[in-house]
Amino acid sequence: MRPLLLRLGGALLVLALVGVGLFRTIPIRAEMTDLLPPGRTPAAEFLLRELRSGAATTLLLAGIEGAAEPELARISRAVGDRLRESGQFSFVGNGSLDLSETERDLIFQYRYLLSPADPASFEAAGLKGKLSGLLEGLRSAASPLLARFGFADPTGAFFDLLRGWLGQSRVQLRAGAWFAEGASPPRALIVARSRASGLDTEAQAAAVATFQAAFAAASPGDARLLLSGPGVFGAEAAAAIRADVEMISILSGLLILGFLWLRYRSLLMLFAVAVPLGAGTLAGVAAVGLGFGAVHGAALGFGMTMLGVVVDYPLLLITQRRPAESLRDTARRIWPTLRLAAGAAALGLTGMMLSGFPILAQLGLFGAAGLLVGVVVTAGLLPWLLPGTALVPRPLPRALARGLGAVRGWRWLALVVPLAALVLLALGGPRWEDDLARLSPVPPAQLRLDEELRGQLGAPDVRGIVALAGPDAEAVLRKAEAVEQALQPLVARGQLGGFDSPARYLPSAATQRARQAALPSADIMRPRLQEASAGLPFRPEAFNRFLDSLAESRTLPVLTVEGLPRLPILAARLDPLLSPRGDGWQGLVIPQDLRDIGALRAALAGLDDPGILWVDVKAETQGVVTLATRQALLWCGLGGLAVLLLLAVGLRRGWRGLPAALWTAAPIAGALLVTVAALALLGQRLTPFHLAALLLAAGVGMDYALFFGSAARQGAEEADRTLGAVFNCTMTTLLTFGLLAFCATPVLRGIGLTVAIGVSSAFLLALALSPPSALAASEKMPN
Amino acid sequence: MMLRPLAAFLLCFTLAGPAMAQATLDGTMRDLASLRQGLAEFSEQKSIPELSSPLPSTGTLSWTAPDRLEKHTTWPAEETLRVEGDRLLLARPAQGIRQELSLDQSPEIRPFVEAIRATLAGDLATLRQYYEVSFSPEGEGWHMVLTPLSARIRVALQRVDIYGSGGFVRQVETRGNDGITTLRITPRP
Repeated sequence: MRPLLLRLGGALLVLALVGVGLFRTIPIRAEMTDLLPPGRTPAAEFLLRELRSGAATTLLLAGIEGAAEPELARISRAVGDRLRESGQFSFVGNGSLDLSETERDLIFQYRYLLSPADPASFEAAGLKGKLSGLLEGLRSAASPLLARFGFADPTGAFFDLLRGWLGQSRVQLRAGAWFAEGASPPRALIVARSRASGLDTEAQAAAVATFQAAFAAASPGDARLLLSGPGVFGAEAAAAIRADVEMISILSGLLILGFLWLRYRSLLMLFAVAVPLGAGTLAGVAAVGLGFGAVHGAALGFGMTMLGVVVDYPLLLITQRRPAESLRDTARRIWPTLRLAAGAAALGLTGMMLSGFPILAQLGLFGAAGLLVGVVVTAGLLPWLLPGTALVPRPLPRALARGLGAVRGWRWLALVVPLAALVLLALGGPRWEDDLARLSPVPPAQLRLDEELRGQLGAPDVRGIVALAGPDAEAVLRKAEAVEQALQPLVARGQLGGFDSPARYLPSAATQRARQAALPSADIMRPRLQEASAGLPFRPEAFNRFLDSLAESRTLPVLTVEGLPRLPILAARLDPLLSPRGDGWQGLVIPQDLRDIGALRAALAGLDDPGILWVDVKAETQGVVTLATRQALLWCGLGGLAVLLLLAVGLRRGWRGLPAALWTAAPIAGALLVTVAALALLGQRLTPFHLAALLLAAGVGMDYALFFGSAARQGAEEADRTLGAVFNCTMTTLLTFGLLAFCATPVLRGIGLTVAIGVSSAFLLALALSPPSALAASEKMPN
Repeated sequence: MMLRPLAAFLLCFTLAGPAMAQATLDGTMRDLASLRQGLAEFSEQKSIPELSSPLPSTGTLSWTAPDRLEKHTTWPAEETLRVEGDRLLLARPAQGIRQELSLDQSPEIRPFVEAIRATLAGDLATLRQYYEVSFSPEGEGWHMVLTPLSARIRVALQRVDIYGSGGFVRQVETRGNDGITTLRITPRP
């Protein structure tokens, strides 16, 4: 015993060393967006890119509640100040907007180039109204402000600009802080945009940590911070997945150990099982690392669970050893079946590799490589590690053995398959998931909070986006102006509430030059001013500063994106709407309160510009999932066909191999049908992840059918031994995947349910349909 | 009789009393602080250099210690300017304007508010946070000059002259970039 333990321990030590080396060299990613399907249309591609790295991914939304209003306002201001000081955020909004003096002066200087004001406001008739308004303002308590800017800007272009930029805000300013309108209890609101790219998940996590630290430092007392945004989502999702994976790996590991101990009462058995499992896992990590350059954390966690299936191989090998047979002979005897089983399962998983989902592709490769290496190690290395050792499982409990014996060959069980078909028919077929959001590992409570904060901050769900692409910022801004012009009539007709556009903040250079050219000279303006101020108490020289700035405006170099660093607040507003992308620039025009989608499409089509793309967010997200599901279904079907072919060849029956293959595959097909019906009954919507799980269940179930089939041909004793071995396999699989069904992460829960149901029904059906052996048949006779 | 000279003496004392005890800054602040509530009428003249004639207005002022001040203009246009604690509200119903802001976040507006509010509250410490305060008795009352400490503020507001007697403020004269504004206050009978 002892030298054997040493030998096995040595093998495990080698594996551990290789593992340490592997994990040192292969990076582990945690990008949540790898869980997203690939986009196959330009609009879908755009949308997914935005989801991965778009402006929305750098936004943090926060609510503070649980204290009186003045206290909340104080905390909000303290948090806001600290966030601004941190330098990690390009924009922090929590109260009135403070333009720095230099930025205000710069915007004031450029007011006539930036303002979309009607040229008529420079005519005497238009000016008259403006001057009366100015006088009115001078009478008010705001006169210091108006005296400062009004005489230099009687048309009010500057104040109109600021109002336009600030406008449409739904928040309420109370005690100097933003509050959610009508929220009870009161809730202070903060928006912050982090400087880091949305792809940089670590920096996003750091921004979240800074936010939480700023809140803690504001001595919040009983007040609570509600934080949302993709940065939080990523962290929450990663935490949820990590918690799930940890729970499963520890718990299922313990359960399997316990089960094996119960069945074999041998430490050697545990070590023997661990060797192929470890080798398979390392092979999976290495293959994914080679293929993708990195391993996703979720693929690693789930892949390791999936490879729990590898435990089957040593179990089958050791348990099927006949008395007085060497393990090497057993390996040689069952190798054809074992090879076929593992090959079929691995082939089934290749469907996942081709699905196009990055995470599924990784999982598929992980699984296939792990299974193949696991089976080779089992058949090649284990007999050498355990020469001449007899590991005999304890007999199954009598009641269980009798129950399983009764199921064997009990063909009536197959009736459950047509029953499942009927259930499916009655339910109108399986339900397919069409909402991308439900694939998200973000906890639903977090998503609800996000929706609520978004609504309160006046950023309701956008129905769609007009995406603009151009070689440079200027080209994109011109396109934005063209779109603005096309959409303006829709706003006038009430088909569209309004829209946000990058050109609202920064007009194209062409437009700025046109405005400069249209500005009247001081000489033309002077008599107009005189005419307009007739009857009003303005002195003749009152507007000299205005006349000077008209002259200055006509010769200013236009403001472009290069000038934005001098204008931090303006840049923060513009940033989500205009940004460099790859070689070119990208812009977004966001329609608000869109009531007539057809009119908008028609207006955009009229522009006939391939650089202007309408992205219907809802339709595209649904389309993306549907398309990905359909694609996955196709690959799964092909994978299934390939498995059938492999079986036909592997069963070595020549042209008659196909019926034999079909007979072997029949319980599996039946089990899949039962699983889909059960999932439909449980109200699960099928996703590509469910399909992948079905493939896995089919691959595992195939082992059972193959072994039952080959054992039945070798007599009753062999059949009983195999039944015991396969039962042990089923139990270990159930112990891992059954646990997955308790995960909080929807994707993992779906996979767990699918595999657990699939494997148990495959086991029972394969047992029921297994060819009757002599003894089993005689046992059946009395019934 | 002994009573007549005594009465004359007493009368003489009461008449002369205020004149004899000259106003001091600390005493005036105490007097101001003791007035917890007040309602008065005001008339205001704004002389803006760019305008050929001053802009007049009238209305009411109400004060509630420690920090609530409301200036309600009734002529020529309705306007409410109210400060309470950290908040400032400006409403001009005819124009549909209603603006609220935080004084803590508006360092350029706060000195304008505190010149009057901290004076009414008798809060010398707050006044000195923003202004250099000089005080002189004048006739039966006093004259206080506030000069902004910050150079940035002095661009918009050069000086505030406040005239009063005892715990009552009679006139506030503000010199800023919108010219000279004179606010005269008469207590409501």
